[in-house]
Amino acid sequence: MERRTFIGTCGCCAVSALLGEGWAPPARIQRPDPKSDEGGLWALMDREEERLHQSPFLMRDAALVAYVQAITCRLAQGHCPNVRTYVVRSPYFNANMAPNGMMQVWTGLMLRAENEAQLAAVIGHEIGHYLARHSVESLRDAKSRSAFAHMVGIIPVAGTLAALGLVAGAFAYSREHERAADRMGLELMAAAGYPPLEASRVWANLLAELQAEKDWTGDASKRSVLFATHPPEKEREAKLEAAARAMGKEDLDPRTGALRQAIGPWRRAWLEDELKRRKFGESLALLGRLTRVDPQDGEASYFLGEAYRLRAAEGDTDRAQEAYQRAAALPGAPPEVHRALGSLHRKAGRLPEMREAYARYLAARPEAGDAEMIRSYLKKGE
Amino acid sequence: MNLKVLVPVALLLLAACTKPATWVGLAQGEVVVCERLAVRHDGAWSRLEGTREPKHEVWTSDGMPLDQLHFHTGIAEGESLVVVKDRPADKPIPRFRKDMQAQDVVELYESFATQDGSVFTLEKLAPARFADEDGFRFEFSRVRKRDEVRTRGVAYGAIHRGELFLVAFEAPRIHYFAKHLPRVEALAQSAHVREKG
Ligand SMILES: [Zn+2]
Repeated sequence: MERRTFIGTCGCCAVSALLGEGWAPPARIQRPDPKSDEGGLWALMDREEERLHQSPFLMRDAALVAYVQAITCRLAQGHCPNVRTYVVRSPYFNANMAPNGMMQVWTGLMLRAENEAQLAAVIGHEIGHYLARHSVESLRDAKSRSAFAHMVGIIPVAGTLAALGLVAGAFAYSREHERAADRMGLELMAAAGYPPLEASRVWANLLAELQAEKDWTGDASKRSVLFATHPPEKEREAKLEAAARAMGKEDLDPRTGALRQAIGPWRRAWLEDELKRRKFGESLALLGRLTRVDPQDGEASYFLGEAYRLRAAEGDTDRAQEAYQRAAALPGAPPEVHRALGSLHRKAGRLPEMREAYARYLAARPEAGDAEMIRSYLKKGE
Repeated sequence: MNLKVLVPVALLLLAACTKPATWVGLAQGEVVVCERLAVRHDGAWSRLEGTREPKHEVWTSDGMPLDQLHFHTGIAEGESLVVVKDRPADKPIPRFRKDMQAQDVVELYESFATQDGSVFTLEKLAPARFADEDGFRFEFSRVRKRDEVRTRGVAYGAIHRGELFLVAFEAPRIHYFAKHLPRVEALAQSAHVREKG
């Protein structure tokens, strides 16, 4: 979304000037005077945070939340006690930070990060906004202020995804803020031991997904929550890459296995959430990438088949079948892959193959809710 | 600030305020739903009229938030379960295809029942006679997004000459589902298809 260029105040320029060699994070941020505009903003965000605690979309898995909070702490260093990490179950790529230190990381972002360093890149960027107090500067910009007041007034019910999205959209930053947060994010990544180059890969992957959606529907993700506040520019990716290359440290460990292990118990549910978006261009780009990165990943291959089946465009049945067949021979594929194959065989009249596939499904899930239906197909042999 | 998000929210609020449809009580006996599905019922039902939905009808017994009975009649190849207007191009509507299996129809119904972000769980799917066909019956549960009420549902479906017929009942799992279930089962058992024209 186009935005008026931010008219820099001293705070903004001072931060930008600091971002040369040897930038160091500022001192701990103190709770502002409640009577100030900044204090008012904090009070509003405290209220939102209370609501977030009640939200059915909040992930309450202690191990998962601790994993993400630990990344936040590694990046935020001395500011760690002031930043509270919330993992929100929503399939969209998003993270955001409120001025009071409430940070949301959405599961759609965690699903998409190829390694811990990429997740750290986005969290580091958000911590950058927090350290530089960009939202307060935005609030002091008259236009943003009236829009923000209006926004806060119309969020009636907490806990709905729409409301979370509105809160996320409240802090629309200027291009200068974005650039500054990008640079701070890189510095924080490097200091925490992550290879800064991974930051540009986050955007490269995301741009590829958006392009795929555009190729498929002729319409890019205009309504993406994150892109309302963070325009995905090719130029931005290039700038990040150049800055990261100048910093070096390319041999640092991006911690691929750590992320995979942390999200492992949830990945299947999040992939199901992803397909419910019915943004098949984006989902296919994501699943295509996951199956390329790890050709032995049966779970990703199954969901690639599901994405083709649900898109149901010309030729998608064959593509789905190919992906299911690959998945069925790999570890990690859920038993539902055999049901999916059985269904395709049944529609095509391949009865022996149908029987074999359904039998494998029922052997693995004898108590499945649809077992009786499947048994009736086997009995009739139709 | 993202004004683009605000506009659809405002439109939704407006749309909710201008509802021309009204509830009309039904006389006991046989009713032909949308000119395609004849059912017998015990009279304690109201039907929502004036919805401009040629293939979808909603009934209730105790009132809409407490129980709802949806009829989808004669859904043809390529049609969605309900009339959908102004759907963005990048979010394709799930549509009926005549080679769908029971599982696919459940998924179609699920996408209709979760449009608002509700959580849907299939509990049971089994073969069943319905509308003069070898159809299927499924049970489901849902956590309704709007009020977080836990509901239970039962549905009967069949594909007759390439068209889908589906009757789905849903009510809060406390009290209301069990209260109406025998009536709904009897109603579903009485269903017969009326051929087109
Ligand atoms: Zn930003």
